[in-house]
Amino acid sequence: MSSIFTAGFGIALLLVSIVMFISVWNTYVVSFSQEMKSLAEYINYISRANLDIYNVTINGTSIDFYLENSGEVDVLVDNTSIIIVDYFYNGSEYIDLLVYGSDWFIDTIATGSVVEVVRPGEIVYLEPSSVAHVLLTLSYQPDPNTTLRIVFCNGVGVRTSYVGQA
Amino acid sequence: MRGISGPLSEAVLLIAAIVATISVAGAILYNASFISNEIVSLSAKSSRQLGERVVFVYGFYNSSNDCHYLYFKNVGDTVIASLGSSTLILGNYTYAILLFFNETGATSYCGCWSYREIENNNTLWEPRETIEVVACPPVHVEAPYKFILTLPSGVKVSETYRG
Repeated sequence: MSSIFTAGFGIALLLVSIVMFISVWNTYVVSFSQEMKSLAEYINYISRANLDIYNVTINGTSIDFYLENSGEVDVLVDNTSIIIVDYFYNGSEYIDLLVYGSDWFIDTIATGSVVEVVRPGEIVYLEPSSVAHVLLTLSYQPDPNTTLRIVFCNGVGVRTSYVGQA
Repeated sequence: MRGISGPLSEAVLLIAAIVATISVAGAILYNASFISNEIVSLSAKSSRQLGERVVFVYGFYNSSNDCHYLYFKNVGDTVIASLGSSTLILGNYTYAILLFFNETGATSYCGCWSYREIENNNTLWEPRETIEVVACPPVHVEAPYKFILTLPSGVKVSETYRG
């Protein structure tokens, strides 16, 4: 009787342990695979996103330029999108960090021949081949014939930069 | 006497079996529980590491105070807390300097670094948020500059910039 009891109890214990282990392992695998999937999707998205800055015009402290989505996926521009401008004023290098909707704006988006007016700070999805007209104001007027750098980065890390002369 | 020795020995064996089984069961359940907890902990750590993604946006060297201004974005899914526990090493291809975190702010040649959140200043580095790291090495560093930022989770960001 004792051997039957021991064997039965042992088997029950083994089953409980196996079920417990499989349950925890399953949770681990599911959680890990979800994060891996999310990471793979992010890498895939970033590799297909591309932006270009061109036609930069400087007028005093005001700058405007065109931001083109030359990639294959939509690019979100919202209040987590920043522009950093690195420039020279009175011989010293300055940097302005500008947040969309409060420091820099898009007034129009052109997709082919269709031009859409954008309200100040409105969240926009820049579609592939679309061109946004960007307006911003610097703290100081950049010295003429000095290097000016503009960096754009949105909330998910789609980044582009421009280097030119003020 | 001979009549009761059979049931008695059976009872003793049964009790011994129960005690032995409980002991073994306890040991197995304890170890199973330990392994489960380790797996859960490992799972949480792996998930956090995979979910934490940080991109370097821009690096600027300010010659007026010899400090470096580094801009990062949290492009992952998780909030990054305890950013001050991160490790920041700044230097170039020849040497590297470990900077300590100074909550009150970095100043010229302090050998320290500090940060500020750009969009929402609440000591939590939320997804999509930008931070500005001010790093002031104790000596002047020659370009090209290189840094390694290691977050508390172990996620590393490393980049070279000219400032």
